[in-house]
Amino acid sequence: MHTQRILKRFQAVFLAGIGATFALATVAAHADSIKIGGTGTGLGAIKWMAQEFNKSRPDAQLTVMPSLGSTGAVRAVLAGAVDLGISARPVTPEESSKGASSQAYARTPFVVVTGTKNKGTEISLNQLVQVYSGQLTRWPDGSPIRLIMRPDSDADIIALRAFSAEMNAAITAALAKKGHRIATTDQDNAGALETLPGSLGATTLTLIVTENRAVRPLILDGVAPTLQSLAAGRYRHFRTLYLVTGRNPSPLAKDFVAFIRSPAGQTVLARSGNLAVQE
Amino acid sequence: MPLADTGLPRTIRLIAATIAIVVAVSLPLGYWLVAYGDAADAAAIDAQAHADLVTELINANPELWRYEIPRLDAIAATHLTGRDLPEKNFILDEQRNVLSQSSTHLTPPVLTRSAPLLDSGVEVGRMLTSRSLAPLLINTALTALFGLLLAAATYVSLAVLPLRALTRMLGALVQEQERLRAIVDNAVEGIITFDLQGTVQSLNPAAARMFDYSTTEALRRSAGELLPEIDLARAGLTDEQPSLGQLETTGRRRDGTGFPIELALSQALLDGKPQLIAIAHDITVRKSAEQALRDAAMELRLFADNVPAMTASFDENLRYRFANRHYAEFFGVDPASIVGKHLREVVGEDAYREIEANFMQALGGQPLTYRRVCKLQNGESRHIEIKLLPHFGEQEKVQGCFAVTTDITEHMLAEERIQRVAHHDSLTGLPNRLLFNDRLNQAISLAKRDSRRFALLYLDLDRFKPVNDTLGHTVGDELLQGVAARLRQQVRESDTVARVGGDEFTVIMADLPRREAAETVAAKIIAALAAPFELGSSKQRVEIGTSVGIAVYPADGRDAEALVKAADAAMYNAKQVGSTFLFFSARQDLET
Repeated sequence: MHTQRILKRFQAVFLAGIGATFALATVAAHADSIKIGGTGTGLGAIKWMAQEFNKSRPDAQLTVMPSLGSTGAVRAVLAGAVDLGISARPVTPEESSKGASSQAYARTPFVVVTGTKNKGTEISLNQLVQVYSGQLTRWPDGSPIRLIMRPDSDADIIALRAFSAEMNAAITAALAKKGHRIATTDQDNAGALETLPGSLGATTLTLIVTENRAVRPLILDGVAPTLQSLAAGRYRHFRTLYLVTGRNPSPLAKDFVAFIRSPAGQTVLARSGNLAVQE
Repeated sequence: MPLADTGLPRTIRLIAATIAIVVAVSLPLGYWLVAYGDAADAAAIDAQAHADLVTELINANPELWRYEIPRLDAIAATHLTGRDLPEKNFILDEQRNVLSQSSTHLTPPVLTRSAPLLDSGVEVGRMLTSRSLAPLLINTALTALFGLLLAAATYVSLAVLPLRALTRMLGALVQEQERLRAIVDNAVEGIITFDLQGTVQSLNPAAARMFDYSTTEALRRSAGELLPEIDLARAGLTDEQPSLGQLETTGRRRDGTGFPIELALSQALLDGKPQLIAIAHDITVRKSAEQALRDAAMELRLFADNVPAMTASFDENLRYRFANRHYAEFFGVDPASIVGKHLREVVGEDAYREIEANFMQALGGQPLTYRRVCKLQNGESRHIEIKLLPHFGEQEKVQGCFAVTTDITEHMLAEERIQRVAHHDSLTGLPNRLLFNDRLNQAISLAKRDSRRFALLYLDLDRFKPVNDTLGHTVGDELLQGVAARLRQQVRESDTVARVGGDEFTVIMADLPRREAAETVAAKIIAALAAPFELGSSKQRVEIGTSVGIAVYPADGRDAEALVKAADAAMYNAKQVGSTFLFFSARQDLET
């Protein structure tokens, strides 16, 4: 009996030891890794940012997930599926009530682009309206203009509508017209703009830079879409990117956010086509 | 019977209404079932197709797929099977929270089909595809409206139009029935129907009159009461042999008297039952007529066989239709077998060739009478006279001819005798004055026609009167007969010797080529008569002579009277000379 009691006690201690080991390992793993996901337009810069962060924190495992979109990023953060979300919009009051919070961290020029194989280098807002309303269908060299559209609810479309009231109407007309290529994600959009002859669409400067896309930003109304022109206020079209976190972000997530807002992070932002935003 | 009484209109309307209701209901119902089935199938296929797209997304990003909102939105917004009905897609997670939905607004009612979202075979969500059934309901309502119109048209075409046609057809049938009833009621023949047991089922007024019953009295009577000689139940009529043709039998009236009828019996389906139809014709009058005809024929045969004439009737091909007993016996043919034979067979080929033209004339409608000598089979020749009369039928068409043949052999002989007595001298047999005048006129006519001349010799016997007075008339007659015989021997066959008086004779020499010929004949006559006659039983020798006066046509006279006068004058002069002959001389005549 005594022997049996000793064996049972040993068994209990052994099992408890194994359980503690697994628990600690889990906590350690959780503490050293985070998942980052969100709008595709910001993911390129975040990847560069993660690489730079790993230089000082090589133990940290930062995983940048494929594009989820802004809404997907917020939902994923709220669901705990990702630790840090990248969004092209601030969280809504409803999302905020659920525990999500957002803070702007960068601003990148929202640019009208074409494939590098095309000869076009600039366009006016008026011409852009004509293109989206279907009145202008050819480039100056006579080749056809092929619009790359996005879903009506996409942030790019919302940004384009904001160009002007005429542009808003032209976008509505373009969406109603069948036959346009509609890209679902920012990466699909950039890929179509690269490959489709005579392409014309919109994306962000940071996506072009960080993903090394073969597209040419067009000078709009005589203003080149650069960080300088944006910072100087000459170029007025941009997208603001937000960091989204839950109620209790992990330490690593907090550390990574802090890194983004650090001078090193600011450098990476500038290198990746973004102007740093401080809130 | 009015159409309404048949119940047919109600049945037709009922059937038409049923079909119309079926059309009215089945058309929208069928459309709804088919369209709903198609919509449900399309929704199910769409849900599965969307689920497949989401599943691809899940496989690519199994951890965060549910947060790939742009892609989920794009999938939800995609219409994969066309836009025939408004469609809304929902992507749900495993807690059935909506991850994404298309922006389409659906008007209720809504049809929803779902498909699982799988992660390595485990359901991690659900794809819902909803479709609005409102357009389907509107189309079904339109189809129902069309169905109602079609049902109305169906009802009209199946009920109203057929009923009108039926009414018209029934009206025509009623008219036809009335027409047939009128024909039956006014038919001369009696028409009676019996059931197969022989009970009278109906009869027309003619039949009622024929059997002396009223129409109602005759009904339900047995056939034996009306037709005692026929057992209708055993008439032997079958479907294969539905008619017995015509037969003659006896009908019986209500008072029991019988009468001959001609009956046509047949079997037919009447009112759905096999019945016997008897068409009866009262042939009393016809029977009487037939009997009268037979009696008349017998009388005619009796009469024809007993008249002395031979009668025969021929058809247009000259075949015998009839020949009486005398005719058949005359030609040596059996009276019973002559009918149908050709005329040629009876009279022989030679005789037929002689008389064929006469018969053709009769068959041409011209009556005629002719005579011929008929050589009988026994070799005897008979004179017959045949009168041929055309037999005119309807529209004066010649159907043959009648021949009335009379054996005139005896008549011809009697006539010849009469002619002989009238024209010949009974003592000598020579032509008398009457025939002489006739022959003389004939000779004048022929000579005048042929521009010829002939001679007339006038003879007067010398010394005849003393013979007659002394030896008697008998010897005198014998002498005259002898003179006649010798005169005939001296002239040609074609010349005429005639006795024109007691002892006066004439000779007409029909053809006189030369004047000397007359002299020669005259000389021969004088010489012949100068020779002595031996007369009587005692052969008494008698000698006479003759004087001959000769006149020549046309020199001495152009008519009979002048010629006779000239010859007589020449004979007178010759007699003055004595037993010689002299030609007429106008100068001598003047001197005389």
